[in-house]
Amino acid sequence: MNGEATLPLERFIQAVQSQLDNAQTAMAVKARNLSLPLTFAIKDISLDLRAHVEFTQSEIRIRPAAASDKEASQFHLVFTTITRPMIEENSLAFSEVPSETSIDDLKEDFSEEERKRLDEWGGVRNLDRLRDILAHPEAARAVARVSNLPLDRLRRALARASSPQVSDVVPVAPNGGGEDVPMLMRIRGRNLRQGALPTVMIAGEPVSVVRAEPAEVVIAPQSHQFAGELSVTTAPGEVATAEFDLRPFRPAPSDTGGVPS
Amino acid sequence: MTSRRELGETLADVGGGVLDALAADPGITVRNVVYALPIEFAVSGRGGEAIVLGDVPRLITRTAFDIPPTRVEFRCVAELLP
Repeated sequence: MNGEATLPLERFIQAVQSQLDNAQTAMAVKARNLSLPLTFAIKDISLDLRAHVEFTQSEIRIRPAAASDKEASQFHLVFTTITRPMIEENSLAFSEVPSETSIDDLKEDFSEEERKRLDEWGGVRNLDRLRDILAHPEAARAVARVSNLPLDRLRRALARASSPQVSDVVPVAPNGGGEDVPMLMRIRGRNLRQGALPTVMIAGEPVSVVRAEPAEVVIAPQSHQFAGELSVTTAPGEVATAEFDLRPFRPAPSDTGGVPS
Repeated sequence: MTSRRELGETLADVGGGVLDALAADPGITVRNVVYALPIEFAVSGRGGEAIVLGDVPRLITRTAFDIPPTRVEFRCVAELLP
């Protein structure tokens, strides 16, 4: 990058913010070195920047005017400091549940550029937000327009990301409890529960479900159900399947834990 | 433009000038300073990151080879050091 390079407007603004932070830090360091009790903080700064503007791929890019640039546009940028309460007030709308799937996890559906547009222009940071938006036709059309992504693609991505997926099947370490406690297995993945308890089958036979959460289902298989094809059905047509083999963990015949065979 | 300073460095040098005055004469009380400067802007890069260069014009007399300066106004307010 050099003086002739263009860059997105938001990157320019971020770069200016970074320079302001550097200036504040440098002045605080200088005040300390001079043994002063106070420093000076930059509260407001305004720039009348002369620059060329380009609009490419739904992105505003600018290049500061170079020598002999007579026809450059003029940007009036004003930066001001904000207080912590202001940050918190404005961040509330963007708060995210830590376990929620980030929009960055949809790498198979959207390019980095498209995810950036969804996040920065459409305010879509996670799947919950995308679901909310697509449930409202007007909001969905607005986000599709500003992110330059067809509604069908957004809906397909949401459907794919909302479908159940199994990542692995692991045995649950025995925790005492005597012979009448059955051996358990943990199915890990995502979207494994949508409302009612899911139906779990191994090799076509149903399995008892002990506990189910979106990220994990605990089952109590019978002794002959420690290998085969597993399926988790969360709703009609919403099925995740996986092959597994945990026969080495199968309890000995005398230790079936009272589970009928 | 290779010798141009980063914008933050320029602002710190200009804004920090008051600190030198305060250190030289502790009797001075300054609460608020407003600056208005002509700054020549350019963008450079370092490690894939955009760096905003911004420095005062090197020469008083403008020529066709000089970058058109941008008017920059900023206000500094005294704050106790944490």
